[in-house]
Amino acid sequence: MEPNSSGSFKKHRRLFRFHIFIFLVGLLFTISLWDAYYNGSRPFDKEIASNLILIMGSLFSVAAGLFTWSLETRRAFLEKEIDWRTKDLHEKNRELIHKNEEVENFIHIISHDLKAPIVSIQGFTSILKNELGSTIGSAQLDYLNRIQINAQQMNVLILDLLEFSRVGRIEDEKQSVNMNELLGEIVAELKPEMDRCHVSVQAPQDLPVLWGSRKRLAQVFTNLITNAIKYMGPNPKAQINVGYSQNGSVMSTLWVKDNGIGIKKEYQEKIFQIFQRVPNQLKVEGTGIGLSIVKKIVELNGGQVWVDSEEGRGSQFFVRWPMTEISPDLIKQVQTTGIKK
Amino acid sequence: MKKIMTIEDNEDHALLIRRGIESADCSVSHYADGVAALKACEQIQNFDDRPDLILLDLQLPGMNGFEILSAIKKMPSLSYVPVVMLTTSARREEIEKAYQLGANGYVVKSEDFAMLMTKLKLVKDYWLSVVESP
Repeated sequence: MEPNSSGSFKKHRRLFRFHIFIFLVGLLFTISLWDAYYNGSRPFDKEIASNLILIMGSLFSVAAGLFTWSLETRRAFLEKEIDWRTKDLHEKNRELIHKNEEVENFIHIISHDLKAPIVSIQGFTSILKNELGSTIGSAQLDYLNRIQINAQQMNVLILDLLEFSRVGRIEDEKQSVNMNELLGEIVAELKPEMDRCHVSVQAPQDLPVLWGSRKRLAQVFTNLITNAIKYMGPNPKAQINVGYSQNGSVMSTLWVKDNGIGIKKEYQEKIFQIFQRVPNQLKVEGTGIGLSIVKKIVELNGGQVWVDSEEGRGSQFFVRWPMTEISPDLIKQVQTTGIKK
Repeated sequence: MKKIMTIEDNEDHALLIRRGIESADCSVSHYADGVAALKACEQIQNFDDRPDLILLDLQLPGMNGFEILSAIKKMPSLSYVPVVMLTTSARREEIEKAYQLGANGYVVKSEDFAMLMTKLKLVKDYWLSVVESP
């Protein structure tokens, strides 16, 4: 785009208004003179009047000419303006395509090149462990195990990063999702872990039907419930509750509540940011990506996620999610301004 | 004796793969780049010299796995030799592309060594004993 186009556009607009003004003044003056000449009550010098009309008529014609010329230049100018903006859009589009390619390359590197060393590390460590068998000392075995645990963590981190980049980049198919059904599936999948931690999930039978990708909704609630289990701590009355409240006919707010270790006030906003982890006495392992994936999914669907928590008493995570299809415009609006909780 | 061709540029992975598929009843020929492997394929004249299974990496220098796969599938003498992709990436786009180009299988190199060995053994047993070459 030409750098001064918007400045000259403004100047041109002022000139255009000036021409309209002259045109209107000329028109009004001519009409009033005409009126005075034929219908006026005052005696009027016909010769002066007819000369005046002649002058005014000429002025009027000049103004009309200027007006037409002004319209024509304005049209040409607008056309140029459209040309500039189209060119600008094309350029921006090219930039976007280029950036997209960069992201694709980056993801390609993560999924191939970063994973390859992990396969080797795990492979050779396993071979060593197998071949050394019982001849290996306990300290050496501990070192080999540590290598493998680290490689495993690296692998989880890579998978999480890939998942984070996938959300929003790949279009998800949306449908009506019965949350009771979905929660049943999630709980069934997490059952071994829940049994190990002696915790159960309670939920009402009338959870709402939400609109969205089944896979993404499962990801959100699996993540929240897994976190609730992980951060439960030693609690003889460990309990996870799922519930909801309706906010009108478009949105519904589902929540996952636990009576685990809770989160300090100063960390409650931070936990949704990527790589942000909260120091905890349980020494729970994690990549710090899980909740940022949750936030990304929820916001891309026009919803919101937040937490209410008290250290030592537990946390309650809220997910506001649409029940019906909402327009992309509305989603964008929500993303930029946010809805009140 | 059955013949397996592996095309893999990562030396470590080549070693691990060899461990998973090597046995007394089959021989393994290994190529570190696809261009050399293709050249070797082109020189095969004898019916009995053809590999019975090709394990092909995706990320290779020079020609990538997809290009080599399409080249192999276009060779009249090799077009029906099963080609199984063996790669670290489990991206859906790549899996789809491989099958579209005629891959006979897609195996993700598992970071769990025991799992990787099991996968390789299953792939080898399936293609070498269940399926007969024409």
